[in-house]
Amino acid sequence: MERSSLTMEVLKSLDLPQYPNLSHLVAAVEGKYGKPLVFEEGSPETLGEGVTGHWIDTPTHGIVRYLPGVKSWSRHVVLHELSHILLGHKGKPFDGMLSAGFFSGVGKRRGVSWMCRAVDVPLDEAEAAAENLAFGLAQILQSAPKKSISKAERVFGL
Amino acid sequence: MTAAAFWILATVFAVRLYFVTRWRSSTAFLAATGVGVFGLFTTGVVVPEATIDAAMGGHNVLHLVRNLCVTVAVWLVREGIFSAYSDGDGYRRQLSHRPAVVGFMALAIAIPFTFQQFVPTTSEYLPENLNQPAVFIYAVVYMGLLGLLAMSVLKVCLRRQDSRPVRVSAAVVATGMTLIVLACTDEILFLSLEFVSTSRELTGILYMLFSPLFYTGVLLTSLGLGIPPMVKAGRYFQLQDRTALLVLTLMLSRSYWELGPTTWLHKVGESFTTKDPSGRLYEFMIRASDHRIAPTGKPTPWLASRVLTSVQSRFDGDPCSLHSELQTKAKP
Repeated sequence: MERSSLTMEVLKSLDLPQYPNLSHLVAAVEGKYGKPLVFEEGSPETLGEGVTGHWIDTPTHGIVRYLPGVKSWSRHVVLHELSHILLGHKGKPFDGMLSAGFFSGVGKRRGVSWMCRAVDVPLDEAEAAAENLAFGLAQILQSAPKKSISKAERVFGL
Repeated sequence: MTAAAFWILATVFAVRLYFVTRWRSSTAFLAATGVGVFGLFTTGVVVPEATIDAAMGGHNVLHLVRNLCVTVAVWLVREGIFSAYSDGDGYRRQLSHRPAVVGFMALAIAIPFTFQQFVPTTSEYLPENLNQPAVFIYAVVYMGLLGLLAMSVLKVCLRRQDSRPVRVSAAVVATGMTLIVLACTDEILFLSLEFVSTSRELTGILYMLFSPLFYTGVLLTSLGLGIPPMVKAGRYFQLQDRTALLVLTLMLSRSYWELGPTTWLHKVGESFTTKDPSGRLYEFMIRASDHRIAPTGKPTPWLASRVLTSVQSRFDGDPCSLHSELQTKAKP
C-alpha cells in the first residue's frame, strides 16, 4: 500500500527512535492523545461480529480492544486503532449507539465515543486513512538495523 | 558430469564477476572459477579436445595445460578460503601461500612432461604413455600436489564458522575436496600399478573410478562456491517474500475477493515486479487474515493456509505475546 501524504505527515510528527518497538509507539501515541491508553483483548461477543477491534474514547482514558489471534494481525488491529487517535478522529458518540452491549464496561456517560475496525464493510474515508497509517506504522515497527557482515561472508560473496 | 561442472562453474564465474564489480567480493574465488572454467573448457565440452590440442601443436600439451589450470584453481580456492577464515593477512607469510609456490608447482609438473617422447593427440594419453618414466613422474607429481592442495582446502573448510551460508558453502566445498583427494589417491595407485604392469583388472577398476570421483568433486566445489552468491541474490531480490506473495495471490485472491481474470493476472504479475515485496506480503497477510474471520469468509486451501501461517510467523517478530508487549512501557 502506498503511503498517503497524510500518513507521511503523521509519521514525521512522531518523535520515535530510529528502530522503534510497540512500546515506543504506544508512548508516542499517549503523548499526542494526552491520556493513558488501556489495551484489552476482546471477543466476537464484546466487539461484534466481523469486528476486529475498537477504540473507545472516554474523558479520562482511551480503551483499545482487539480480537486476539495471530500476533502480527492483532498488532495490526491495534495499530489501526492507534492510527485513529493519531489522526485526531472523533468517532461516533456513544449515546447514538443502539447495540451497546460491549460498552458495559465504559458506562453510559457523556463524552464517550467509539470507532471500530470491521472486516466486511467497505472502508469510509476515516477508516481508509487509519488503515493507511496502520500500514505505515507497521513498516516502521518492522524496520531493523542491517546486520553487518563478517569478513568470511564478504569474501564468500554474501 | 564434466559438461555439468563446466556450465555450473561458468555460471558461478559470471555471477561472481558481477559480485566483484558490484560488491567487491573475493577476487581469489573469481580467479579460481575463471581458471577452473578454462580448465574444464579444455576437456572438450564445447570444442573437441583434438581441435584445441591441434592449436597447441598436436602433442597432448592440452593435457598439461588442463592440469596446470586445475592446480592453480584449487590453489586459488585455498587462498580465498584462508583469506575468509583468517583474521588478518598473517597467513600470507607462510611459504605455501606465496604466489611463487604456484610457479614452483607448475614447474614441478611441467618439467617431467617436457622430457617425454611426444606422441600425436590422443584421448587416452595417460594409459597409452605410462611406459614412459617422464609421463609417469609428471602424472604422479601432478596428482600428489593436487591431492595435498585439496587436503589443505578440506582442513580449512572444516574450521568453525558462525555464518550459516558460509558454513553450508564450506561444507559442500569440503565434500568436493574430499572426493578430489580420493580421486588423486586412486589415480596415484592406478599410475603406480600400471607403471609396474600388475593386474589389468585392478588397474581397470582404479582407472574407471577416477572420473566419477574427480568430476563430482569439481562439480560440488563449483556448487559450493556458488551458494553464497545465490543466497545474496535471493536476499537482494527478496525471493522468499516474492514466492510467498505469488503462491498466496495465485491461490487466494480469486476465491477470497472474487477478482476477475485480468485483475488476478495483473496481481500475479505484480508479485514479480513489485519493488516492495515485503510490504505487499504484509498487506496481503492482513487482508487474508481479516477475510478468515469475516462472516462471509471462504475456506482456505491447505497449502495456502500453510504459507499464510509461515508468513504470519515471519511478521510476528518478538516471540513474547502482544498482550505483554502492550503492557510494557517504553523507557523515556
